[in-house]
Amino acid sequence: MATLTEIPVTVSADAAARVAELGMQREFQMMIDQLKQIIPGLRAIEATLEYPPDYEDEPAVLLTTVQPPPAQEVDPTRHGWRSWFVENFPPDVLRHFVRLPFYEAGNGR
Amino acid sequence: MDGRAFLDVAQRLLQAATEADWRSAAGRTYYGLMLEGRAALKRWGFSVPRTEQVHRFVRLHFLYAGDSDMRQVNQTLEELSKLRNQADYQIELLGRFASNQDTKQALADARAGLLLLDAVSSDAVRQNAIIATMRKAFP
Repeated sequence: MATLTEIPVTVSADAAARVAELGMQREFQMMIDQLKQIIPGLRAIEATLEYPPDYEDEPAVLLTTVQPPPAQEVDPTRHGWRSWFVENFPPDVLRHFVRLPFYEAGNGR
Repeated sequence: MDGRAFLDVAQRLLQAATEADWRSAAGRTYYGLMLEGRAALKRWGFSVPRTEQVHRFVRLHFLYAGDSDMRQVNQTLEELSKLRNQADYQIELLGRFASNQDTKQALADARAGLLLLDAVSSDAVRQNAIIATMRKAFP
């Protein structure tokens, strides 16, 4: 298993620009650190900027966690993340970030 | 019918065997919870938009409800929305729809979110506090 510092984190240019525009670099780093801590077997984190394609909304920074399928019927990291997220940030921060797991069975897509 | 009926449709689609079924299940999962959220806001006296702005309307009202469980429902909707967007629009990428795993987990989230929403609807004191906070945030 990769150590926490070895887990690759990629941030697209537009996502980085959005985080900077919002002035939320500290919060963003807290989120990255927390995801590394709570997800067993985490392989990568990818941050991208996503626009809703068919309704009016502002773009969101999508944090995709590439991780193995859960051993349990329901992945406990989903609720664990959500609980931590909503308890640690105000709505004005929450509205700009979304985490979505990507379950990868093997080592490549 | 109620929006939650779509969650049963999603469950059936997840038991099917093709990528198109699993992608369709993602859409039904998002709409199942979003429409239940819309119905709750209507019951609570809010004037809900009929246009595509309804998605943002529901999510933001839950986000600014001053209640931790409602913020969790908001987050679940945000996640389901992103999953649905990928399911419906990024069809050139097999990605997370190579199996039913991602949507299966999302459906469990939607059912959990519905329980949180139902709990608020069955507690008049809490519901009234949430409504008051939402009205203050969106006068």
